[in-house]
Amino acid sequence: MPTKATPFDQGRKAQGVFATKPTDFTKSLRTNILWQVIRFIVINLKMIRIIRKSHH
Amino acid sequence: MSRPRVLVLGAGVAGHTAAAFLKKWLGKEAEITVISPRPDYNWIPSNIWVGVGLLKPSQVMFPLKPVYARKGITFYQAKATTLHPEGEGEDATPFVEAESTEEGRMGELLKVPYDYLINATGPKLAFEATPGLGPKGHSLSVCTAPHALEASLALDEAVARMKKGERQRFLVGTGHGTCTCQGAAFEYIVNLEFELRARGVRDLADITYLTNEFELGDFGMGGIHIRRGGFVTPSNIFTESLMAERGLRWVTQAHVKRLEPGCAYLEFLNGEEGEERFDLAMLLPPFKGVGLKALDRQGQDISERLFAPSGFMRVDADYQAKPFEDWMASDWPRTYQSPAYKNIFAAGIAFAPPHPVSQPRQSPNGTVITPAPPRTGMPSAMIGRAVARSIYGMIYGSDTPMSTASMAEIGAACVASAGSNPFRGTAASITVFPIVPDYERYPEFGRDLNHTFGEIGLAGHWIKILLHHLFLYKAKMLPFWSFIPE
Repeated sequence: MPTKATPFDQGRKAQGVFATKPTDFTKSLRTNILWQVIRFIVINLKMIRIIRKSHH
Repeated sequence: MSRPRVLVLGAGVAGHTAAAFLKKWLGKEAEITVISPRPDYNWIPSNIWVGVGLLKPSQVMFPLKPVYARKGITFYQAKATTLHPEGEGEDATPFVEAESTEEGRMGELLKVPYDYLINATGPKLAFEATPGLGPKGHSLSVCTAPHALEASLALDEAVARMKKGERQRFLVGTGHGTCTCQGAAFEYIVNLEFELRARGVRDLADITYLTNEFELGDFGMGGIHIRRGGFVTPSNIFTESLMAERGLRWVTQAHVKRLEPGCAYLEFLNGEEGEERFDLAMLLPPFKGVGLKALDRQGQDISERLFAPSGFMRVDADYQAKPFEDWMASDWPRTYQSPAYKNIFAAGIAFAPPHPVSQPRQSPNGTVITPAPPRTGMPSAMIGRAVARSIYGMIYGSDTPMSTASMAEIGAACVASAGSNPFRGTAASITVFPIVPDYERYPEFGRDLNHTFGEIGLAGHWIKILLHHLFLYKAKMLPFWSFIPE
């Protein structure tokens, strides 16, 4: 992971300038019901895979 | 021949899971006893929602006594104080001394004999490590349901002040340089921000995330990497993005030296000092072992043989001190059996990790500012189940534990709420494999990127709701409970 010092008094705005921000499209997908139903299935499958892989 | 006795200390995720599976597998073939100082089971991940006023404590807790009575598990509401793994005097029967915490029997001494012991006592919330930290000091917590309720009431008061036009400063994060559970602090701050928006007062709130992490997204796991958009991206990018998107300010690499009313005094990794002013602070405490003692047959203190200086129990880990570069996945315990006594195991937070997962760092003054490794939730439950399986095997003749759950060999699925609403809420769904990076198997990133992923969205919130109900159902040991995975 790249290292980056975060000075204590660095303001929120200055921090925000260097942070990755989602586009409006990305944000809309996050609460789009149809897309999220698909993601619900996909995420559950991924989690089940992890659970199966972790049970010895 | 009398039935083997299995004693479980603690009824949190690890202890309760172990007791439930032992009863399921052994039925009447063994006597299962649980000792826990609290009368209730608490599904701790949902305390976050209690802390922002969305759930009542009764929705994340239930009384253990009726559940255990229904399943034939003996339950003592008591605080275990001393282990006697060799018995006492002429009697070689191992037993545990405990003090009742039940109303009407407070302080009454109990001696509970065992053939197998699981120490799943969880953490002591070490608020005293930072002067002024905690509900008895100047900050709030969401570590227990009553603490979370207190945080919710304080939030209501802050919102009332904001509705009168007063600006409020919120400080959320870790209250000491060695804290773990950054995930809980992260969940609280994003839920707090969501709730302030829902209550129409967000514009009057300055919200700061204060953490002992070297970078955001470390979460005590040294961060994770995820394949996304043609890049392998570290978790600090995603976490910074979530914070920036919500207008949250963050302060990293910080140790809280002390808290006074409305002010946290800080020391940073670079040796500088600073302070953060607040009107409401929710700062997590560091964890320590619960302070169990162990005595041999002659009454000599043998606690050092069983416990690390942190108070957590030594198990089959490699505790030899070595530099960060030499840490190995194989340092981590697999069976959680005590090397001192083969019939004693530790599960969940109660076992002593061999070292942190995040790179250890300290300030020029020698103050350690490094997250402790997380072992809550799914890993705790999986360890509890593995230990139960090993004891089951040993009761039926196995010489050695037959089940393993090394955190360097198992993965974890985690859902971190980022706002609770059935249509507008979101949560970060994360899987990691393995939990502790294994740079021998996965040289570049330490983890299998095919099984390590994360995304934020409404689906995650639905999963979080589903898990809340499923895990409470499972903990109540209602029909088909064992089909619900850990």
